[in-house]
Amino acid sequence: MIEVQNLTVTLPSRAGNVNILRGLDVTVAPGEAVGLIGPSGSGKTTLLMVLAGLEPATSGSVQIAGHDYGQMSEDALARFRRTHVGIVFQSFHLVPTMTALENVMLPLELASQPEAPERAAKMLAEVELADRHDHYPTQMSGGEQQRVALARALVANPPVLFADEPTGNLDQKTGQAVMDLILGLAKERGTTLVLITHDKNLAQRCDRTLTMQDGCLQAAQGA
Amino acid sequence: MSASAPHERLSWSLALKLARREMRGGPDAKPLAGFRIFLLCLVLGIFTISAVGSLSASLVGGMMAQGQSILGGDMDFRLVHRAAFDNERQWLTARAKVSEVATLRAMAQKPNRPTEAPEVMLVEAKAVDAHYPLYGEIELAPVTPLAQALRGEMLAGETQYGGVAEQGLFDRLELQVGDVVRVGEISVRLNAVLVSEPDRNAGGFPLAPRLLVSQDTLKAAGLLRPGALVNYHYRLQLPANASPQEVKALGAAANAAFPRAGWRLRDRSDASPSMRRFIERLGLFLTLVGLTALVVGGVGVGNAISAYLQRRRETIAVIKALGGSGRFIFRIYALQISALTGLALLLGLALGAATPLFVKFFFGALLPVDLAIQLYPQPLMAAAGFGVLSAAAFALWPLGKVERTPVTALFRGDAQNADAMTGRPATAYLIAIVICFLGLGALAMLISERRDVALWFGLGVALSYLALRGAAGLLVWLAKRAGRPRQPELRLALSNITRPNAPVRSVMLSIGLSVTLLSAISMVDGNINAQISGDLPERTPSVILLDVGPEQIEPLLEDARATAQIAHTEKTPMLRGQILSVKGIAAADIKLAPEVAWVLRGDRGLTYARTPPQGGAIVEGAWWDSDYTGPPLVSVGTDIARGLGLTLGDEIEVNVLGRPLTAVVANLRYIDWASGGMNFALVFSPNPLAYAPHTYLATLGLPDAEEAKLTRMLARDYPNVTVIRVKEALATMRDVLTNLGFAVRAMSGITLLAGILVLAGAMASGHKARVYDAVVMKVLGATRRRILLAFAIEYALMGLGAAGIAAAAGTLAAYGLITGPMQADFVFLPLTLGLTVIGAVGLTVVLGLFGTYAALGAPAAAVLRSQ
Repeated sequence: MIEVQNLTVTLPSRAGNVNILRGLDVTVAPGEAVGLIGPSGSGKTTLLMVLAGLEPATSGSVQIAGHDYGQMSEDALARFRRTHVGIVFQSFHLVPTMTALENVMLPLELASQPEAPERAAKMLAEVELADRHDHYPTQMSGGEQQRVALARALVANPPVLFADEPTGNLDQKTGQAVMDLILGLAKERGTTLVLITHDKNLAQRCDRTLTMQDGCLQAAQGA
Repeated sequence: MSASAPHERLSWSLALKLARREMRGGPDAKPLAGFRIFLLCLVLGIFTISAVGSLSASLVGGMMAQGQSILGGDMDFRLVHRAAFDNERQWLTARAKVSEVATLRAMAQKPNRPTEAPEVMLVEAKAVDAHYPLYGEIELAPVTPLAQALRGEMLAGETQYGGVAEQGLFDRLELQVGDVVRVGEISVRLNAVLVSEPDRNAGGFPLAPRLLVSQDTLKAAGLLRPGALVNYHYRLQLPANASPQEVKALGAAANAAFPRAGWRLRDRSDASPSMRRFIERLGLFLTLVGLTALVVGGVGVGNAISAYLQRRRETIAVIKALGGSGRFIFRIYALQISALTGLALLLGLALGAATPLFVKFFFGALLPVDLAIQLYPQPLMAAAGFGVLSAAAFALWPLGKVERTPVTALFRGDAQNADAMTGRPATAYLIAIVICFLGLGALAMLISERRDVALWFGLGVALSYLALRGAAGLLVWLAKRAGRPRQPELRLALSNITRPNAPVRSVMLSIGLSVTLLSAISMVDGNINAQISGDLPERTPSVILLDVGPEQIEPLLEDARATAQIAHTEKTPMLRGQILSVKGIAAADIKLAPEVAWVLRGDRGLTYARTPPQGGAIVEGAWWDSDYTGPPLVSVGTDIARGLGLTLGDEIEVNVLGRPLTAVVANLRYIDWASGGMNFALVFSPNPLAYAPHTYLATLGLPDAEEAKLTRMLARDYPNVTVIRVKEALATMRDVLTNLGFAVRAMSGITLLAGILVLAGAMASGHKARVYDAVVMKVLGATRRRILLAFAIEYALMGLGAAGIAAAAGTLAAYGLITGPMQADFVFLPLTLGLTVIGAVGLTVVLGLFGTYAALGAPAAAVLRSQ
C-alpha cells in the first residue's frame, strides 16, 4: 500500500538548510498497522506529512496505492487525499465554526459523495457520538473532539489512515479509549494505519513498530 | 481507485456552503467579529462617494425640475449692451408671452449722510416688467404685492420711485423699510425687503445684494447709457403642454430668423449652466477626496482580511489536508469577502442615497434650489464600482497568499506562520490586483469631465502609496541596522518596529495617505489665502470703475486725482462680444478641452487699442501701426490661441452689439494675468470698434483710507458709474471659498477618520503581543512610564516617517495645483507644513498609546498563565 524509497526532506531555516529525513525506505502492506516512535525532532511528523502529501519530498519516491507523489501536482494530491487518505492530528484540528456532524460531513462533501449527512451521522454513531451532532468543538471534551476527528478521517472510507499522536492531548483513560477505537475501526475496515506516538506501549499494539532517530529509521520490530 | 476522481473540481455551491458555515461561526460567535473595521472602512468610503454623487445629482435634478422658475421662463434670450430690436421683439411676442428683465451692476447711495461711511454700496440691479415673474413667487417682507412695492409716487415735487432690496443692502447702509436710496439720477424708496426671488441663481454668483425696480425706474435712473454693461433678458412663457422638443424648435427658429442677433439662448432644461457646472465640478472634486478615503480604508480592508485569515489558518489547513485545493480555499474566502463587501455596499449606498433626504430635511432652507429627491443610479453605480474595485484590490493580496501557502506551514507555530503568510501571491493575483487599481483610475476618469485632474489625482495617490510603502520598508531596514542603543526604551521601540507582523506598513500608509491629503489641502488653502489677503501685485487696483462714458473718462480721472491721493490709474475701452466662429467654423461646432471651453461660453470682454497693452509681450507676429485704419485685426492671448488652435492669419468672428465683426489674427500675446494690470484676451485694432457705442473700464490705485472719499465723490458726480471695491469683491470671494473650504475639509476629515479606523484596526491586531510585552517588562521591573515611553518612541518614529513623506507629497500636489490649473505663484508655507507634520506625529502617538494603554493594565499572572 505504501512504498517509500530513499526519501529525504531538507527544509530551509535562518541558520541554513536542515536535513529532516535522510534517505528513508519504508514499505507498508495493505491493512497493516504500523507504529512509528522516536524522540521529538526525529522527523516522525515530517514523514507523516510527506506520506499524506502535505509536505513535498526533497528527493526519493513515495507511492501510495500505486500513485507516485512525485508525478502529482499539489491539486492532484489534494484530490487524492479526498478519497485515499484520512488524517487524525494530535490537536484534533476540527473546524471551530462547524458542528460535529458538519465536521464529519466535510470530507464527503469535498469528495462530492452522496448522502453526506446520513453517512456522517452513521460514522458519528460508530465513534459513540450519536447524540452530539449539533455540538460545536468548543462544546465537547478533548476525547469527544478526537473521536469526531477520527470519524472525519474514516467517513470517506480511505484505504490509508495516518494518526499523529492522537492521544497526545488526552488523559490516559480517554487516550486508551480513543486508541481502542482507532485500532478497532482500522482493523474492521481493513484500513492501512500509520500511527505516530511517543508511547511504546501504544505502538506495540500495532502490527509492526518503526523507530526514528535523527531522520533515519533505526530498526523494525514485529508486534 | 484513481486520483482523478469523478468529481475533479469542487463546486462553487460547496464553497458557498462552507463559507456560510464559516460566517455563521461557532456557538459563542459575535456577529461580524473581526470584520467591523473592514465594514466601517468600506461603508465610509462608499457612503462618502455615493452621498456626494447623490447630493450633487439632487441639486442638479432640482435645478432641472425648477428650470422654469430658476430661468424665469421656459426660454431666456439674453442680449448684452443692447435691447432687442423691434422686429426681434415682435417675433418673440407673436409666439409667447414675454417678460422683459434688465440686469446691471449699479451703486446705491444713502442720501443726506455724507460724512458717515459706508453710505454707498454696489448693488445687483434688476428691472422687471409687469409680467415678472412668469414662474415662481417673489417673497417680500412685509408681504406686499410686487407691483405695489415697485410703484413710484410724487413727493414734494420729485418723483420717488419704488423698489425692493435684499437684506444685505438694508444692513450695510443701515436702512429701514421705507428709507430712500439714490440710484443713478433718481431716488428709490425701499418699500420691502426682498426675501427671495425665484430666478436668483440664473446668472451665477452675485457680488452684491439685489435691488429690484421697475423698467421705468431703470430708464429714469439714467443708467442705460450707450455701451453700458446691461443684460437684457426676454423670457418666454410657453403653453403649459409645450414639449422639450417644441422649446428647442422655437429656439432654432429664433436663431434661423435672426442669425446675427447675438443673443444667448437658454431654456428650462438647463436653467443655470454655470451653477450646474459648479455643482458638478465640486461634486467631482469631493468624489476624488472620497476616493482617497476608500483607498486609505482599503489598507484597513487588507489588514482585516489578513488578520481574519490568520485566525482561520487552522480551518484552512484542515480543508486543505482533507483534499480542498488552494483554489477551492480561495473561493470559500472570496465568497465571504464578497458577501461582506455586498453588505458594506448595501449600507454605504443606502446611506449615500438617503443623504439628500437628510440634507433637505435639516439644511433645505440654506440651499439655492429645492433638492429633487429620487434615486440617482449613476452616482450609486459609480460608488459601488469604486467600492467593489477597492475591496478587491486590497483583498486579493491576502487571499492570494492563502492559496499558495502550504498546509504544513499553516499547522506550524506562530512565528513560522507569520513567515509563511508574508510571501507573495501567484502572478495571476498580482495581475488581477493591478487590473483593479487601473479599474479604479479608469472609473475616476470615466466620471470626470476633467480627465486630466482625475489622472493626476490617481497618479498622486498611487505615488504617495508607493512612497509610503517604501518608507515603511526603509524604516524597518534602518531599525534593523541601528545596532543596540543603550536606552532600553529606544531598544524596545526599535525591536517592536522590526518584529514579525509589526504594524509599520499599516500605520504609515493609513496616517501617511490621509495626512498627504490634509497637507495638500492646507497648502492650497494657505496659498489661496495668501493670494487674496496679502502679497497682491504692487499695481493691483483698489477700485474698478465700470460703465464710464467715453466723455466722462478724462474728467472723472481728473476729479479723482483732485479728491484723493491716486497712486496709479489705467483705463481701457470695453465692450462685450460673443465669438461666433473661428477659422470659419461656427462656435457651436467647435469641441474644446474643458479648461478652455469658457472662451466660447457666453460673451467676453473685448477692447481695442492703438498700442500693445502692458503686462504681456508679443510672442508671434507684430502689433499694428498706431494709425492703422485697415480691415480689423486682432491680438489674441497665447493660452486662448492654443485652445482654439489659432495661428497668425486665421479669422475670428465676433458679435458686438448685434453686429458681426470678422478680424484677422495679427499677433499672439503672452499675458501675465498675475501682474495686476488690466488685460484682455482679445484686443482689436481700433477700426471699427472705436465708433461703436461703448464705455470705459478704469482702475484706480489709492490708499485704503481714501477709498470712501473717492466713492462718495463718484456717487455724487458720476451716478451712472459702477464702483467695485477690490477688497470687498475679494472678501465676497473669500466667503465663498471659506464655505467651499469647509466642504473640502469635511471630506478630508472623512479620509482622516478612515485613517484612524485603519490605525485602530492595526493596533487591535497587535494588541495581544503588546499585552504580553508589557507584562514581561513589568515582571522584569519596568514602570508604566518606561513602557509607555518605549511605545511612544515607536509610534513617533512611524508617525515621523509617514508625516515626512506626506508633507513632501502634499506640498508637491499643492504646487502642481497652484502653478497648474490655478495659474498662480506657489508660496511655500513652512508653518502650515510644520503644524501638519507635528499634528500627524502627535495623532499617531496619541492613537497608538490610546490603543496600547489598556495593555499596561493587564494583570501579569493571568497573562503569563495563558501563554
